[in-house]
Amino acid sequence: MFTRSALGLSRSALTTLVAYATLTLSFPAFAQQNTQADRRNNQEIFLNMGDEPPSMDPNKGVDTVSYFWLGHLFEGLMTTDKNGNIVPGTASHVAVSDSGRTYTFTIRPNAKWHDGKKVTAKDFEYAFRRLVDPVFASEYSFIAVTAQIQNAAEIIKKKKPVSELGAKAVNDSTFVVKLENPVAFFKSLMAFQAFFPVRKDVVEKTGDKFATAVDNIVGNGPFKLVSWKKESSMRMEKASTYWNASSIKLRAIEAPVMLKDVGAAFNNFRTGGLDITGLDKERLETAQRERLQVKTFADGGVFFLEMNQREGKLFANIKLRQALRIAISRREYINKVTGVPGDKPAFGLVPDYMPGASKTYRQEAALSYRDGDVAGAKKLIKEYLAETKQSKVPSFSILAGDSNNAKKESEYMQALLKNVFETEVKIDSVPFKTRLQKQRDGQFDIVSGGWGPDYLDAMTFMDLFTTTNDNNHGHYVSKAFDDLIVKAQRSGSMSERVKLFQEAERLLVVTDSAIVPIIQRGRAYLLAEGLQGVRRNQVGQDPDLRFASWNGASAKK
Amino acid sequence: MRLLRFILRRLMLAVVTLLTLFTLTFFLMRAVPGDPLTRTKEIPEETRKNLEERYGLDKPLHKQYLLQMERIFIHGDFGTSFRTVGREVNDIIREQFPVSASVGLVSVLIGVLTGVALGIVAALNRNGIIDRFAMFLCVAGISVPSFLFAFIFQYCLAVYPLTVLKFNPDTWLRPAGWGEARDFVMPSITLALGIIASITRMLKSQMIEVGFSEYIKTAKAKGVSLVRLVVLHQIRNAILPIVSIIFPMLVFTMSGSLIIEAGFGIPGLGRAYMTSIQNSDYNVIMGLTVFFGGFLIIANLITDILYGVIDPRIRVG
Repeated sequence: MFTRSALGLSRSALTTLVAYATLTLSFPAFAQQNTQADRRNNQEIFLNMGDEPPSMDPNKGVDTVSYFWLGHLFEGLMTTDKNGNIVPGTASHVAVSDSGRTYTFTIRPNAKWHDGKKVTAKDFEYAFRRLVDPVFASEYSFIAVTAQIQNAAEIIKKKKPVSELGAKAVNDSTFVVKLENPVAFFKSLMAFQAFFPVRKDVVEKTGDKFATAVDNIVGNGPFKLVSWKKESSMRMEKASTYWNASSIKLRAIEAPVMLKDVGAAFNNFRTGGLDITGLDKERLETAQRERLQVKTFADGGVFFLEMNQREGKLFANIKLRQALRIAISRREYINKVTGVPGDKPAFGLVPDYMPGASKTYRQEAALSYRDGDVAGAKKLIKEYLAETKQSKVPSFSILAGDSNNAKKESEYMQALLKNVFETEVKIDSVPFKTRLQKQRDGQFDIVSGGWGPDYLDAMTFMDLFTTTNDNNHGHYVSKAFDDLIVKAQRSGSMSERVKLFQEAERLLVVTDSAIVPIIQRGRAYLLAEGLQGVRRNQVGQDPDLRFASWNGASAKK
Repeated sequence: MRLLRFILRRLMLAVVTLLTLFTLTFFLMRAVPGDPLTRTKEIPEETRKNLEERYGLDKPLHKQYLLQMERIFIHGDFGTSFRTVGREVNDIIREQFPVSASVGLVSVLIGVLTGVALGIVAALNRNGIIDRFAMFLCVAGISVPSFLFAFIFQYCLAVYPLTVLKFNPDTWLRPAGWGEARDFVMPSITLALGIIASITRMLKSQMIEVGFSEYIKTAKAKGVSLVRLVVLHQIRNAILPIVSIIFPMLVFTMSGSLIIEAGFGIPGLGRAYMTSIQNSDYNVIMGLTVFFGGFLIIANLITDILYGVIDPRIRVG
């Protein structure tokens, strides 16, 4: 066998390929041994993340796939525990000044990088400065402005040098962050990827290649990257250097494949090749029939209709917007259109999981109204027609993507709105990027939009619709709304902020009906029997496998 | 000498073709709404400015055009991906092309060998059972989309044996994955089906056509043995047009199939191409387009030369 392959190799590249393929094809016994039973015994998890992480640089990652890996490889000053509470991470202690504007973090003496070096305050200073550096141009730099770190906004605008950032290492173990205003959720921000420490020496040594391969990623988290085959597989193993290594039960987490195709991933799961993978509604029934463990969770996203309120546009009229809000039955929409278990109706902009002062925000700031009220909507439209002396509502269009799901959603809306508004409703179905460009340029009447949270506070949703926000595609302009948001930005009291947000949300959704919230998105996924401690998050690493383990008792099947 | 002059002229023509391809791609990409920085979440204006500066997108269009042309055609550097931080397009091609190419090569090999065998047997054995089977395969191979075949194979060859028949998952085929020899099996067969279909049909009709020609009749009349007649006269003449389609077919198959790569988790170029288009990743789109263009041009050149070798009546130049 070896002589044969050696013969093949001595020829041209073409024959090598053929020889390689034919030879190895006939000996499948060489396949690597790793069944689900082996993984149970070794405390290893195989999962499908669907894609290659676009950025393993903590200061640059903006997507959920990158976050999953980064959240296991690195750890911020703060972190989350197995219940999702914010607790000290790489910092053992944090002191907040009376003004709420100065945070002093003490770095753990036993916090180490994966190569054994100590984690110091300088590593955080370097990372924070890098995040706002206009030359580095991180897409996530705005999070430093959200955190209100002193001078962050001016540095991004190139009005001040990077060294003026209000985040400084006093010595190796003391890191001080100064804020422009108190920020109620500052500690929770310090647990997120953009604020992870970064090693200056590694960045300088590797330059543009930083964080593009196993040997130029050095983390400080519970897991260490050991293999990365581009677009193919990744593997991380428990890091013995981690200060809290004794709390980590898993030995390894691996993405043995990067399958975009849900059907293929489903097949790998049911044959024992994966322990966690996403599930779509088409395969839900099969999964249930085969008695696979199906779980659901809120993925964090809220979807809503945005109406173009620019002057001269049809939906600049408030009555028509209100009609839209009450006409849609959110329940029916979920049952008939999305059909994903875990989807929930959205009456407000802020999703149910968002924390408030002591309970969740939604428990403290309830918001509901009657929907599916076609008669009520028609009454408002009649009033609009009388006021504008028209006999019929002018025709309008819905801007939508060209995916199968987007088509199904917009067709449902089209039929509903045709009935309610008694006029022609068109669908402008375009490719993804064209839709983004059109909504940005205001070339639409109604567009279906959505938002996923950047951090765990209602502000991540509420500031979207201030007058100057680029994501305010419909150009909703309200001085009262803007004022409430600014007040909330400057307040360090959570209970006061909940009140401000409640008022702002009522104004935005109910009074002005500037947007029409529809659903809080849910997702279904498959989880292998016996795997416990898997946490699904709306912000940060998702899934969070730091506290997961195989339950030895139920190691059957 | 004539051959050399022919090759030189074709190579010069290739450069012109590539430059045209480059220019068209450059401007068409920018004519499509959205750019690499268009995201679901709008990037704040200041950050956007900083990013444009970093990537050179703030320069006037003609400057970007000339700079990129210089980088690609003089330095052979396709640049870096906008989407995947630090990922060089040259690395994408170097690492992911061999994957697509090996899958493509294996499927063309399977496809051509099976197709030629089936085509010959079907022609000699018209309306026989093999002929009927071959014709069924032809219709299916051409009309059924490959993702459906991928799905059927995944179920029949992996899911069913593993879950119902309890085959050993260590050695049996897995539904999707990459990195082991067994992972070649299903994607290659899926890709090969289309090739088998077109080759079988073409060869069968060629064989029949040649069978009616004057020189076959003459050979028969001369009393040439059946084996000699079929192998040396009929097949040799019938196979000629097949040769002319094999190379373009090979190039096409080696450049990667999005559906096969997505469905079986193969880290090939088809997948990279699709991702780049979805993200308006200018450098990757351009790099892969120019690469495929060059690959196709060279393959066509080789086909032309080979054709002349097989059929002495055709002389290049």
